[in-house]
Amino acid sequence: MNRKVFLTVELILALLTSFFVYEMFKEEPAQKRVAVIIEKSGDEKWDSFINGLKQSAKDNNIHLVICNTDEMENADKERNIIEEQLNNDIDAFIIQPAPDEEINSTILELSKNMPVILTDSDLYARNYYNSTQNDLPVIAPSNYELGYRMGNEITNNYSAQIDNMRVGIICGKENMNSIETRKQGFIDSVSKEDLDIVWDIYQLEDIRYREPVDIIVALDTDVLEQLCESDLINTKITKIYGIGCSKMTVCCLDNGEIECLIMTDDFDMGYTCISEIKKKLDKKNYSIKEKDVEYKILYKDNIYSKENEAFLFSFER
Amino acid sequence: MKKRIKSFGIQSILMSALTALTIITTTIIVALIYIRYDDDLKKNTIKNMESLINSSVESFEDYLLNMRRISDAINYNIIQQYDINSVEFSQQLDLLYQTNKDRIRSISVYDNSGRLLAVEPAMTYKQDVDITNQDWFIAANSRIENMHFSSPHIENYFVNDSDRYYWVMSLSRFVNISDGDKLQNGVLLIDINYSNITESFDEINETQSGQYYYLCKNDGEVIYHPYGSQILRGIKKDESINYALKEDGTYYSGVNGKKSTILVKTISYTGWKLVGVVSFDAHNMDDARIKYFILTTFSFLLMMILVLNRIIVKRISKPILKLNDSVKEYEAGDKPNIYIGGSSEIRHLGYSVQKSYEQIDELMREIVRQQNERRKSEIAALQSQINPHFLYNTLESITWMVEGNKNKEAVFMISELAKLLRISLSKGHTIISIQDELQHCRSYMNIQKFRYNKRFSTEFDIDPEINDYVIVKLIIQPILENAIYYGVGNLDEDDGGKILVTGRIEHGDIYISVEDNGMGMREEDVANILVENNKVPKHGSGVGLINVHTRIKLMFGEAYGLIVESEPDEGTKVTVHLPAILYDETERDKLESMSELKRDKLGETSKLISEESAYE
Repeated sequence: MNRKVFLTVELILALLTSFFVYEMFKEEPAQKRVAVIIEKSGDEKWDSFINGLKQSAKDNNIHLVICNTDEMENADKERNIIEEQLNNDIDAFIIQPAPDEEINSTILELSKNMPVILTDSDLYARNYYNSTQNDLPVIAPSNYELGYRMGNEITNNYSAQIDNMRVGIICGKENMNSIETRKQGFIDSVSKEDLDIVWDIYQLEDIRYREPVDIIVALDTDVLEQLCESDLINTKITKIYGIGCSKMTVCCLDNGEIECLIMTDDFDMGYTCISEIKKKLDKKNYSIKEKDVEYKILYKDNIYSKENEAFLFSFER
Repeated sequence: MKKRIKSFGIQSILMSALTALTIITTTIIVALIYIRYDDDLKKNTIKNMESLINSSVESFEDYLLNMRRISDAINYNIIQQYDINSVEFSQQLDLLYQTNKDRIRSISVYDNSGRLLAVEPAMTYKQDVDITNQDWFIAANSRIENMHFSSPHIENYFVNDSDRYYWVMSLSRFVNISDGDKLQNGVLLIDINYSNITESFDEINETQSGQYYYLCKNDGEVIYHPYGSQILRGIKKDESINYALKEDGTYYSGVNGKKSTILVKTISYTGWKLVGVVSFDAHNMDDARIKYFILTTFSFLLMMILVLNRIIVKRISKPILKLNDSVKEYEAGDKPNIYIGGSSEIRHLGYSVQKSYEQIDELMREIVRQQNERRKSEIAALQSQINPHFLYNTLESITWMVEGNKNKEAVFMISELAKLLRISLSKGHTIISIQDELQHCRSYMNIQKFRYNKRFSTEFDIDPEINDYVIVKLIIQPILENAIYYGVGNLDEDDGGKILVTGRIEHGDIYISVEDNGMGMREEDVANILVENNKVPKHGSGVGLINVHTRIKLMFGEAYGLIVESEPDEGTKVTVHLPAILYDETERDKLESMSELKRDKLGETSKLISEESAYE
């Protein structure tokens, strides 16, 4: 072995040793930080979603920052929270967008610099029928399908006396893309029937000024819970069909206050959001896959079936 | 055809062998260490898992035992002691509930038809729920001697005013109830908070990296699983559940595509299984660090051993290489000291080689000395070939002169002979000045002229400049002798025989020519006259010329010697070509001893002399 070969071998070994030493003392890569901005994050209705987020964060080694949005009353506040989190070394965002054009532009601007996933709802559209064309991925239930299935349930359950049925719709949040889409789905579903949609309102309080109906359709968890809690209607006379995802709505269904509940799998929604974000953070050219989250149609008599009971366990924090 | 094999040096061979040995040995050692470490790690992990599972099972069995004891306390101390409708019954049940309410969600007693008889805490019973269809109720009535633990479920038979529901695990048993005067059969139900169980198992799973533990029934129905929600939704799967159906023990198998070890332990009384799964394919940071530590040790060890190898190889091979180099230098003609160093064996080898070379040198010197001696004797013999022959003829001529009363001529002859002999002797030197050599020639020619009765004339045309240069003694005289014998000696006086001796210096060399106008020679005779070959017939003149030619070459080198030119019937010209070396004693001695100065040289004497002359 001549001198050159010897020195080359020694050099290679020295480089290898240095590399191994570096790897040995290398600090663990910092966890990627993902901020989650959802309206009233402390609400019980997000329990399942947050369980999904946490479980996925644990599986994917993600540091989860669930922003306290209990004081978030409007779009400006949401924008402030986004800006705050930008100074908090955040690598990606999961956002439930407020219905506001400025928020839309903030989120679109944000998405140019880091991965952003919209959850629960797509961006606000002034005319949601011609929904905004954006490239932001949305992981949410198919809101149109939820509304459509709700209509189907009513028409199936009251097929005999459907002609005489009077229906009122309480939407909940105004201008929210998800809610508007659900409403459209519902309307489309029942349009072939002689179902009389007497009114559709956004705020529960407005019900006082509306004529009584046979069925009230609540398109949002908050408004469904409010409806159950309120004494504005007699549930023995007026049946409640609702879309919601909380323990309370399940109890209300169990207690007979809600006739039919369409419950989205928010655990899966949360889990998928983090999994997709992780893939995007690991691989820059990865294209986040949108997902229509599953849902369950619950009635009082099938709440505690083995399958649904296990499904409900995801609410346990 | 024999294949040529490249030969390697001792250093390369030693280094290659040691390097190969080092790499193989280090790799094997490190691999063995790693395998041992990995094996120990796995064994320790499994041992720790076994320990954890055993303690968890014990802990859980204690928990269930406590529940069974509570159940026994309720059965034997309350239900069998008091009437179900009595105040004491309610008080005792309430007391027991209050004591254990952190673990127990509710205690209730039902009659055989599923009618609620008592409940703690007070709750509204759902009228539309048929208790007799509940699994726990059926189990309690089917095997009345046992207590039965159900799967976790939502406590769905009480109205929850707080708009929430509770996950419980039901402990049910058949009881005999005192209801007034009659004794009736019933079911005691204790709903245990499921959150207590999940919390304790969550705690185990949180602290164990790369492992997870779950609880299931012996038919595989999961009671607790850390990935229950993911498995339900198909996000994850767990193939290890199949092993829960097997006997207690440790199983090695591929679970979810990873090599895993599965530990199964049965929980007494319930027959449930606590299953622990560890995947050794899972890479965590600590494992990676240990691997990098082993690799660092390997590469560093290899690096150091290679350095050490090189030092050792150098230490071993350096003396051999030095010895080899000194031998090579010796072979190349230098005369270095043979290297003596290193280990005792190599030192001994050095000594032997040195001694051998010294002996060779000695032998060479002896050979060269002998060669020189031989050469000297040859020269002496050549020189001595001239003198007796000439001397005899001259003395005979003087005798005739004296007999013929030509005293004056005789005196001249004797005088010339004396000069000739003086120069011939020259105190034994073989190198003389050209002036002396020409004087010798003149004396010789004067003597010969008398002998030949002046039948030819002699003329010397010598550039005086050449007089002070060196010449080999008595080399012109044989040429003159040949010119007389084979050139002009046989001519009549009228033929005008003439010998012209010219001397000049041209291009730094000296040319002395002896030219006669005698009969000359044929071209082929000229070509062979200086060739020392017995097969070629020569005139008698050839021998003398070859001697002269050889002597010049012996003294001054191959570049010098005689040049013979001849034309038949025209004459012959013989030119002596010499280097121009100024004559003095130093040069003379130097030339005479030049063979000795380079006597170390091997080879033929003529070659040796030739090289020395060229050098000079």
